[in-house]
Amino acid sequence: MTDIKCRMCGRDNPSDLEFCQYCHARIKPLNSDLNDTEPIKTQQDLPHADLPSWLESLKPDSPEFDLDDHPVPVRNSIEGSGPLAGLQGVIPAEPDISYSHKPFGLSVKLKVSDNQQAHVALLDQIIQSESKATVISPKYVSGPGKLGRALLALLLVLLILLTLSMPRFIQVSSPNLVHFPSTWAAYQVVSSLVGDRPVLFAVDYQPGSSGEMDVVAGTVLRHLVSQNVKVMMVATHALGSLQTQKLMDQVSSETGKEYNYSENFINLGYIPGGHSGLLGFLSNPRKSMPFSVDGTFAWSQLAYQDVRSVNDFSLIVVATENTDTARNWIEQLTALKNSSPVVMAVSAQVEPVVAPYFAPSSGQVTGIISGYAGAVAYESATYYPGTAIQAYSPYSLAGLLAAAVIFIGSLYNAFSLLISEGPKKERNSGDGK
Amino acid sequence: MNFLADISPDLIGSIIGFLLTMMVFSYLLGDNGFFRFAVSILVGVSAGLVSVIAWYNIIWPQLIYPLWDGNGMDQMVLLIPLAMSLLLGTKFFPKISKLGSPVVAFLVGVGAATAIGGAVLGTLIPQVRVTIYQIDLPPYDPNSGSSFLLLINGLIFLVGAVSTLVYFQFSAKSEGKSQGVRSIYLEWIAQLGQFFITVALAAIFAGVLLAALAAFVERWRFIYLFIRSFFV
Repeated sequence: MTDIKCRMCGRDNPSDLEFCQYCHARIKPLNSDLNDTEPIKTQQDLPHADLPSWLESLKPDSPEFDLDDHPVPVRNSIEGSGPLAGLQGVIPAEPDISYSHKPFGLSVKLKVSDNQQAHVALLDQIIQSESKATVISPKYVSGPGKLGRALLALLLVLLILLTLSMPRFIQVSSPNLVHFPSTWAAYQVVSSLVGDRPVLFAVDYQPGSSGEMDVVAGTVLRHLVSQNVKVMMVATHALGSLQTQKLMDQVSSETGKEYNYSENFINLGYIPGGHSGLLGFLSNPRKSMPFSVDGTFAWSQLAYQDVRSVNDFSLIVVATENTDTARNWIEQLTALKNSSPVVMAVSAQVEPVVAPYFAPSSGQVTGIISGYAGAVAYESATYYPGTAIQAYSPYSLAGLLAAAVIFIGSLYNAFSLLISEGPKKERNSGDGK
Repeated sequence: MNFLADISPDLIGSIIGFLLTMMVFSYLLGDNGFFRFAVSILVGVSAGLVSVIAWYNIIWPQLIYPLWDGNGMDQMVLLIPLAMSLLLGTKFFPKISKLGSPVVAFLVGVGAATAIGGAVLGTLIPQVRVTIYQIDLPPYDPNSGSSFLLLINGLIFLVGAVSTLVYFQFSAKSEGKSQGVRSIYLEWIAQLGQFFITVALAAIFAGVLLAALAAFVERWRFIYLFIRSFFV
C-alpha cells in the first residue's frame, strides 16, 4: 500500500487513514466512494442545456462572442505586503466578483421598419418646417404718404368742426331705440327699477377711452340718477376708480340733481386680484370690500345693509371698453348663478364679443348699450339728452367719410393689383410656350 | 396778478387738456418731441396714480390698519397675507428671489383656476346650449309665420359654430412619406369656417374703428367748445 501525503503538513500517512495522524487534517475526500464508482465527467460529457438566445450569445464558445471584446483580467502583479510579499500570481483574498469593471459593451442593433422610418422622416420634416419663417412675397400696396395722411386728417377735422358749428344745417337723425333690441331691453330694465335695493355700477375703463365711454356709461348713470336709485360703484381697473367721481360729477351737472356721496352713492374703489378678486367680491361683497374710498365703513347705510351677495343688488351695470373685462364679469356672474339683471355699457369694439351673451336663450346679459349709436338710441328715450345726441352728427359723418376712404382705397388697390398682375401672367404664359 | 387770480381750476385744466391734445395730434406730422412729451406724462401720471390707489385703497385700509387696530383673530388671519406680501417683495432681490416663487405659484394657480372655471361655466356650456336651442324650434304657429326665419337663423348659428371649429382641426391622416392632408370634405367645411372667422374679425375691426372715431370726435368737440368759450 502506498502512503498518502498530507496536503497540510506534508508528512506520509498510511492509506487506510482518513485523517492525518500528525495534524488531523482530512487526507481523503468525503465522496471517495462515488469517485471510485463513477468517473468524473468532463465539460464535453455534460448535456447541452437549452439556453435563451441572448444568454447563448454571451458564452465564450459562441460564434458571436468575440474574445477581443471581453478581455480576461490577468494578474501578473507581485504581492507587495504580508507574508506572501514578493510572490507573483498570488490568488487574491477577495473573490473576482468584488472587482468592479466596465460592463461588457454589447451592441444592440435597433430594428426599424420602413413605415417607422417614414414616420420619423415626416416628424423631422414637420419640426424643420416649424422653425422656418414663411416668406410672403411682397405686394405693392399703394397708400397715402405723410402728406396724404395729413390731408385726410384735415378733411376729417374740417367736417367735424363744420358739423359742430352748424348744428341746425347739418344734422343726422338719431337712431330709433326700437331698432336696437339689446339697448331697448336695457332701457326697460332700468326703467322698471323699484324699491330701495341698490345698483352695482362697475366703471371699468381706462382714462384713454373716456371719450367714448363717459358718453356710454353716463347715459345709463343719468337714467339711474333721474330715478333716485342708490348706486354702489366699483372698478376692477386701478384707474377705473378715478373715473367714478368724474363720471358722477358730470352726470350731476347734466341732470341738475345733487347726488351726495354716502347718501346717494358710494364708491368702493378698486377691487384687486383680477379674476380671483372679482369672484371674491361677487361672492361676499361686504367682506371683500368693507371700506369705501374715503376710508369709512361702506355698508352702514340703510340701503346697503341688506346686501349679502351679488343677488341682493337690483341691477348690475358694467361699463368697459375691454373685451376681457366684459367677459370676466359675465363669466364670474354666471358661475355664481347670479339672478340680478346685468346691463353692459360697452365700447363699440366690445359689442361683437358681448352680443352672444345677450341671446334670448342664453340670458346672461339682460341688455347692451354699445358705442355712440347705442348711447344716442338710449338717450333719445330719456328726458336728459346728453353728449351722445350732441356729438352724434359729427360722429356719423366722420364715420361715413372714414368708411368711404377705406372703400375707395380698397377698390383702388384691388384694381391696381389686377392691372399689374395681368401683364405678368401673360408674360409667364408666354415663357411657358 | 388779478388776471391770474381770476383763472379757475377748470380753465387751467382745459388749457392743459388743449395743449396735450394738440401735442398728441402733432403725431400726424410724424414722431416728434411734443408727442413723446405728452405720452411720457400719460405714462408717468398713470403709474403714480396706480401707486397712490394701491396704498390708499388696498394696503392701508385692508392690511395695515386692521393689523394695527383689529381684534386678535383678525390680526392672526392678516398675518398670512402680510407674510405672503413680504415673500413676494423678495422678487426685487435676485439673491433671495426664490423665496417669492411659492407665492407667485399660488397667485398664478388660483387665478388660472378661477379663469378656467369661469370660462367653462360662463361661456363654454351656455354658448353650446344657445347653439342647440337655436335649432330647437317652437311648435308651428300658423299665425306667427316666422318659423322659417328662425330655422334659417338657427342653421346659420349651427353651421357657423361647427365650420369654425373644423377650421381649427389641424390633425390629418398621413399616407407613407407624404405630408398629411385633410379630406376634401373637411377642407370645404374649413373654408366655410374661414369665411365666418373673417366676418367676425371684420365686425371687431369696424368696432375698433368706431371707438377710435368716437374718441377723435370727442377731442375735437372739446377743442371747439374750448375755443368757442372765449368768444361766447
